Order: sequence, then structure tokens, then C-alpha cells
Amino acid sequence: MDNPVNIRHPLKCFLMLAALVPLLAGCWDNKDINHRSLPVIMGISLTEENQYKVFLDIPATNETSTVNIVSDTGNTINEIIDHMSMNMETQVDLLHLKIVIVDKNFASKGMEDIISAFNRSRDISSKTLLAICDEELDQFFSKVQAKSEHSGSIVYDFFEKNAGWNPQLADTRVWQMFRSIHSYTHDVIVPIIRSGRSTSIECVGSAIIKNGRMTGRIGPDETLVANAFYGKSAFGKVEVMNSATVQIISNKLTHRSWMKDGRPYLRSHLRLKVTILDSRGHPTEEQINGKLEELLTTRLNQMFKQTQKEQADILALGQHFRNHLTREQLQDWRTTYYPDLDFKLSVTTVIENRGNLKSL
Amino acid sequence: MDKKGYQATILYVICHMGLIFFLYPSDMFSGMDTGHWIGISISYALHAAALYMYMKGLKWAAQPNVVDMFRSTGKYLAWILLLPAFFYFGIAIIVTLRAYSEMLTLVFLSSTPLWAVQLLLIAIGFLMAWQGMSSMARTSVLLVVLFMFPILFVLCLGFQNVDWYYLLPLIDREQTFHFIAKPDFLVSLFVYAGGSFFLGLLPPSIHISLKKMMLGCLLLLPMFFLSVYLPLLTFGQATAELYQFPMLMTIDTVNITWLLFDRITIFFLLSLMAFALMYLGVTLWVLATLAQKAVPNVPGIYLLIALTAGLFAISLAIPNWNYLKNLQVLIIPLRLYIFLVLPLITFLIGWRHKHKANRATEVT
Repeated sequence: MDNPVNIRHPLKCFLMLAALVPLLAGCWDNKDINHRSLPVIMGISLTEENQYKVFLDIPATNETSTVNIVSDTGNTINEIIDHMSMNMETQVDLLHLKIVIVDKNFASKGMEDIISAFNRSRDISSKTLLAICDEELDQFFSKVQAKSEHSGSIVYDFFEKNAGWNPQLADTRVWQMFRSIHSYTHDVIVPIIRSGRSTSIECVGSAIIKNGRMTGRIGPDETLVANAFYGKSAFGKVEVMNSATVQIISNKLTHRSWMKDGRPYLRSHLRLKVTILDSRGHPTEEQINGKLEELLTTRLNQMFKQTQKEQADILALGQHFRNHLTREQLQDWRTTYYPDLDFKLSVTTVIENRGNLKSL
Repeated sequence: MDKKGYQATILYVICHMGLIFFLYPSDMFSGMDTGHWIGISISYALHAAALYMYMKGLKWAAQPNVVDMFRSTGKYLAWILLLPAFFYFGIAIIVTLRAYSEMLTLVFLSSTPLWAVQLLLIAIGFLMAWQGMSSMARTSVLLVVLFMFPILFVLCLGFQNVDWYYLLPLIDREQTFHFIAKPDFLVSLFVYAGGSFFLGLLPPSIHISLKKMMLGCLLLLPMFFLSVYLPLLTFGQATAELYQFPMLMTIDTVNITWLLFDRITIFFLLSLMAFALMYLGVTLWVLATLAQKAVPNVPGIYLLIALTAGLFAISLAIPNWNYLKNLQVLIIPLRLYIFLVLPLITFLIGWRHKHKANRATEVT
């Protein structure tokens, strides 16, 4: 076996190469890129007959228009996509889908099925962003189409970290939503958008999603605090009541958790480094710090109270009790322990610098 | 050519790398709920011990290969001892072929029929095995040079979405060792069982250095941990156990905007596929070598062709994924035999040889 068979023999060599010719074609059933439609955005809503209505936003390749909106109804997402493909001159390929926009009514009924379908699917990336639409999707998409004269990717850029994203905007992907559906202690927030008056899109806060169902909403300011909690708030700007506006440079969180008599206790400490952008009048640093700390603490506490009531752990506080509770107990985290959680947050802000001016 | 034992070590590392990241994490997640590191450590320690015993036994016996070594103890004993190994490797090839082609169609060849992928995989394995061990050993060096960097790059990026709290609890208060007897855990031993037997069949031109082998084995330890802990830290046990290929899903969540490519999963998958092909080639070669020893009067190439065709036919005949799972459970005894018993026997025979040799030198 170990003396390799002599393949230098020309005829053998030729035969082998000839046998490889069929492989040169590459992929199986390959389809030219010109014959594919690559939608960037998918909108899903429910019709009155409880059917899905799917919108696809396909950046056009010809010069007359920049965006094509296609929509269809059916019982499953895949059936609808198939149907669309049938009626179009190209094949719909969801490989590059970037954003899924879900209608608010549908979101509050529960999105578990479509999220599972996305995860099972072979061609939708689990990195796809999720958003919830505050208005009728028909209206939203027609406005987007009207406004996208120059660029077909406005909605996508709106969420892109290196384009339009702001820390006031939640950033949740399909896999995170899937995790939140199955995880015992992790819930998510999803941005709520609508078509804007002067800009094409407007963010009106975030939806609290528990087990794939929208249970409540929070405003953009609270989303910023939640993002600070996730460690994603850098460059977020906070307006401190009537006295200044500061920008968050970095944040650091420490936690201490314990159980006492079956009740969970959590003390968190958020350290923010900020820089002053704007000031009205001449407040002192202490005043700004004090007001900022108070503002953030109240905002977070308010949000915490709300989510506690809805039993949706969007800050993933249950994660800190993994060491204290067994897996069976963690399973009941949302229902038994979380509403009972004693959570106190202290915020310390440090003013890193005051820009170019020495005094406020 | 290679006097230092690098080739054998690289071949050993590659064969395992090709297996670790695919089926292992999913088996671990269904086998254990908490404290995965305990399971990994136990099976890894057993593997390292078995590898050490196997090589030590071979060295002591001073025989060119494991077949001759077993033959020296008795004509039929060799048959009895090696027949299970032969069967196991046959099934290992079938499982690998089937599972990997299924995975390839799942990730990016969605319109390609399974048989075409399977045919391609086994054809490449066949070509490798045909060229013999020394050419495979050289190829393995090339593969490491080509693919190690992309793999490490992707593995580093895989930490992008980790939530370290999922590491806790390190030891659950209710941690038991029941998992050891669970079929899922025993199935996960698949990654350890098949990749070191070939060391006993290497031609004399490829040397084995015990020290380098153990170092190579040590290199694998972080890979075992990464393959389980990256998905665990990203998704948590409750979600990770739902995925067929947790590692690939983890890599799928990595989002880098500056990279030219949207999904880095394909880099990872293709690099590891090259390693998996190496495993297929080596295992086919092991089968052909064993068959050659059993039927010396048939030319090796015919045996290889017959084996390849037979295995391909069987892997085509497997109807679905569940059947494959059952097959994996059914061969647990065989796997444990290859994993633990065979190295132990080799060690014992080698030890006896050494004693005999010592006595012989004393007499003369």
C-alpha cells in the first residue's frame, strides 16, 4: 500500500483528468446572480384571517427604481416566499436578508413559530436584525419606498453599527430572540420603528419581549439605560434635566448577588465615564454628577419595576443567580423569583473631561 | 524523511480536529446539563492515558505494527482482537460520511443531493488512501499550514457574543456522575475513539515520538473545551441543546462588518472539512491495511476499491438522521473497546514482550 501507484503513466493521467471534468462546473444547480432577488428587509404581519402577510424589500438592479416591494399572504412563511418566487421572474433568495420587521399586533400575539422557523431555515442568517413596526406594514413599506429614491438600503443603514445606529436603539438579532425564548433568565428588547415625518424612519422606543411575545414597551431613554447595562452605551448622549448634556464614554458594571430565605438579592454598581457636551447656566460638576446619577437610577428603577411586573427579565438579572439556584429552580426564575427580586442599583458617574473649555 | 515524529503527531491532531467541532458539542449538550468540563476532563484524561498506553505498548513490542504484534501472541487472537476494530472503523466512516454530508447540505449546499456530496467525500478519501500513508502524512503538514490560521481566527472571533455568566455554576450542587452511563455521553466518545489507532499501522518510514505525541494530545485539550464552551457561553445550555450543530450556529452569530465576507462559518467549515477528509482517508487506509493483512493474496488496490464502494453503498442506504443516531448508540460497546480495551491489550502485550526480552538478555 505504501508505494504509491505510479500515476505518471500518461494515459492513466489523462483518464483521471478527464474524469474530473464534470466537477469543473462547481456547484449543483447553480443559479446566476442575475436570476436571483436578494431581499434586504422582510416584513411580517398577520391578516384578519390569521394568515401571514409577508413583505419583501428588494433593492432593484435596474435604473428606474431603487426598491421593489413585494407582498403576499399565506399560511407559512416558506409557502409565501415560494409563491412569490413563482410569480417573479427571478428566484427569491433570503441569504442576505438583514432585517425582519414584525407588525406590532403580530408581535404581541407571539413570534415563537417564525423565530424557530428562521433558526431551522437553511438560508436565513441568525444574525438578522429584528424590529417591530408601530404602524400598518402596508403604510410603512409604501413610505419607505417613496423615500428611498437615492438609496435602497435606508432601513438597513438605520440599524447598522457603523452607519446610523445609536445607543438609544436596541440591537437584537434572531439568535438572541431564539435564546430568549428558550433561556430561563434572558429576555430581550426589540426596537420599535415607524416611518418618520422628515427622516424616513423614526425610532419610538423598544418593545419588551418575553418568550417571543411583546408584553410592553419602553422609551428611547430607557433603552439607553438598558444598553448601558448591556455594556453597549458608548457614545450615548444623556440630557441632564435643564442643566447639561453629557456623552457616555465607557461603562463598567459590578454585581453582588445572594439569596436569603429564598429571596434573591442583587446589588449592582454602574460606573459611567462621561464627557460634557453642553451646559446651561453654570452648574458645578457635583451638581451634574448628582443629577445624572439620580436620573439614571430613577430611569433604571422605573424600567425594572415595569419589567418585574411583566415578569420579563430584559436585563438578564437571573444570570447572576446561576450559582445560587439549581437548574430546576432557575426554570421558575421568571415566575417565582424575579417578581420577588430585591434589586438596588447605584450609579457613579465620573466626568472624564470638559472638552476644550476649562470651566463649565 | 521525517526522523523527529512531527508527521505522525500532525496527522493525529488533524484527524481529531476534523471530528471535534461537529458532532461532539451536540452530544455533550444532550449528555450533560451542567458541569460540562467534568465530562470533558474525564473523557480526555482517559483518552490521554489510552494513547500513552497504546504507544508505550507498541514501542516495547518493537514490532512494525499492531497486527504483527497481536499475531505474535497467537494466530486466532489477532483475528478476535482486530475484527471489532475493523467493524468499528467501517461504521465510523459511514457515520462521518453521512453526518458531514448532511451538515454540508445544511449549511451551504442546500440544493445539492446528499449522494453527490457523499460521493465527493468518499472519492477524495479514496484517492488519499490510495496514495498511501507517507503521502497522507505529507499532505497533513500542508493542511496544517493552509488551514490552521483560518480556524484559529474564527475561533477567536467566536468569543464575540459570549456571556460569561453561562459558565456558572462550575459545580452544581446536584452534580452527579450519572452522565457517564448515558448513551449520549458515550456517543460523544466518538471523537476520541477513531483517530489514534492508525499509529499502530504506520510504515517504518514515519516515526512516532512519544513526547511529541503527548504534546499534540495536550494541544487538543483546548479544542475540546472550545467546541463545547463556545456554544454554551453564547447560547446557554437550554438553547444550545436544541441545535444540531451548536458550534456552527455559534460561528453564525459572529458579526464583523469590516470583513469582506458576511458569514465566516464557511471558512471554518471548509477548513475543518479538509481535516475531516484527512480523517476519512486515514480511516479508509487503516481498513484497507487491516484487510490486506487478512487477505494477503489480493492486491491492495482491489481491496480498497471494494471497501470504498461497500461503505458508500451502506452510507447511501441509511434512510435518515435518527437512524444514524441509533447506529451511534448501537456501536457503543465497540467504541468503548477501541477507546479503552484495545490500548490496554496493546500495553499488556508490549509489557510481556519487554519482560521476555529482558529475560532473554539475562540468559545470554
